[in-house]
Amino acid sequence: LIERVWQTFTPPKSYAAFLKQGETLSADPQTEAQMQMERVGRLLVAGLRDEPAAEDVADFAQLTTADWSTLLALATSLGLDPLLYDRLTVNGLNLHLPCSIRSQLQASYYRQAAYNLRLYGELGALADALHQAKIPMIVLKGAHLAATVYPDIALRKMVDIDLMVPEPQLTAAFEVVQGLGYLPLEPSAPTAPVTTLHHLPRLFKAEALTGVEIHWTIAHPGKPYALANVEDLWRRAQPVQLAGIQAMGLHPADLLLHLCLHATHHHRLVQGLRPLCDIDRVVRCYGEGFDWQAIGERAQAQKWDKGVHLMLYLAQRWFNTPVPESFLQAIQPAGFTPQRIESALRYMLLDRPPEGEISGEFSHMWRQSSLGGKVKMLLKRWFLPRTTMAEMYPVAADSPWLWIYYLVRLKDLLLRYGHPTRRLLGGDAQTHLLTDQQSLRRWLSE
Amino acid sequence: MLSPLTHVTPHPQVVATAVRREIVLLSMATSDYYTLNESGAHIWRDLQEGFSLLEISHRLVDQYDVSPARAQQSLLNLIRMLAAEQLVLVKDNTEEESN
Repeated sequence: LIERVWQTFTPPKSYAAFLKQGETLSADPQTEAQMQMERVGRLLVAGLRDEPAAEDVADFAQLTTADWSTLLALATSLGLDPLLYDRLTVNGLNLHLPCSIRSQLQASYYRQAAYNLRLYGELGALADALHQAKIPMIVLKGAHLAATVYPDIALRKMVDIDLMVPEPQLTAAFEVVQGLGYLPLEPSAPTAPVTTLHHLPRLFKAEALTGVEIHWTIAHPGKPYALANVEDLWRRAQPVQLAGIQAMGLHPADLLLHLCLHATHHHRLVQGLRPLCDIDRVVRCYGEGFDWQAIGERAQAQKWDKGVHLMLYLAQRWFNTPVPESFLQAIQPAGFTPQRIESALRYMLLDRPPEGEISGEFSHMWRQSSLGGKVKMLLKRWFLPRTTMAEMYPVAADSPWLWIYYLVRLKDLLLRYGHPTRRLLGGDAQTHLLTDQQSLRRWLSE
Repeated sequence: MLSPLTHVTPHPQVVATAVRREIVLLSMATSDYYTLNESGAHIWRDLQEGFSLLEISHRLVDQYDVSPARAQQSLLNLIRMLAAEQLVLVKDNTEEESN
């Protein structure tokens, strides 16, 4: 009746690298590594679906132990192993699981349940302390989701506790949380980042499993996509029961918008598939009551529409999330192309962003569909307006010697773009990923 | 000595969550965690609701197709294991009941 699952409690494995250090994916879609990644990624998406398609069921039946190991590694690296275990079990796909893989998935599932139990214990103490100090609090993200939209708390991995308090009470909340033993890694004035960040620096406690982030809004202030009116979130917030804790949570529509914003504008899709799973769950739980038109209008008014459309489009296509087609058509932003979807796919199946630097300008130029488009952009970057040249180089805008600096400008461009161009032409996968990432970032922030 | 009249309650340092038909228990004191299968979960929920071992034993007989003797034996075995892991508090009420 009882099984002691784990001797000592260890936090869930942090996102391990799906690709080993130094290993790169080839940009050539025909190469074996690329095909394997796409196949495993597609299988993971199929395995996470509420209802897998018949062809997916057949595919799972044919997996070898090595395939399962690769699938497990990817799911683990993306923080989705407990959810994969649950979905495979519910959908009867676990019949094909090799024993060793089943044991690993099962252990991960129970471990996450215990980890989250502990985390909710910490959240309960935080909620009590803030309640006693008469500071209202909204629980954001993982701690809200795990206990409300997932069938059980084991299915959503969490890395921290995110709370939102009213901005005037930020300092008081900081002191309350500090009073429970949570401290910043570096001493800082609690209100210092209010103008630039949407939360205080993460606070840590030695014996706690996780950090705490105290938010005062849900979007970076000062950005084009900043939240216009945080009071609206408070007005719409609803009471929620989170593993026995009475708290407040965002209204489901705000929760959905926040998840889309967070995955795209904040994290640029580097969180992998997990945000899509969250979005899928939120829509399945609350979608029937959604006023999709109002959600679209809110997304557009706050300039979140690109991220909202991208995430809901992907959720609908990959997970069959019941998002109305008319909604997606209504908010489809300019510049949304299948190429963007492909970029998103590549990011969501990686556990970490590609390393290195590629400028946004360069990635934009490279992603021009035609050679003519690329040349046009290069010329535009070369022949900058005279006033811009005067700002960049030690020459007056009306100087007759300005043309010399256009030659210097060409040399600078070749130095900056030559190296990545060679790598891209040589099929270097890392550079292609960086270019995709930058291109997507640029498009999202335009 | 465990008997059907012994009063058993979940340890206050233990938290639990339902996962599927099972229950995961976490000892906040030791950070060890455990799973209870479906019937174990049934017993744990009954303990949480304050049922006596005698009542739980009757409920097991009703719920599962087992003899009273087997239900009682399984229940007492589980309680012994839970007590050994300090997941429950055991208070012997035999004396009180006989008075």
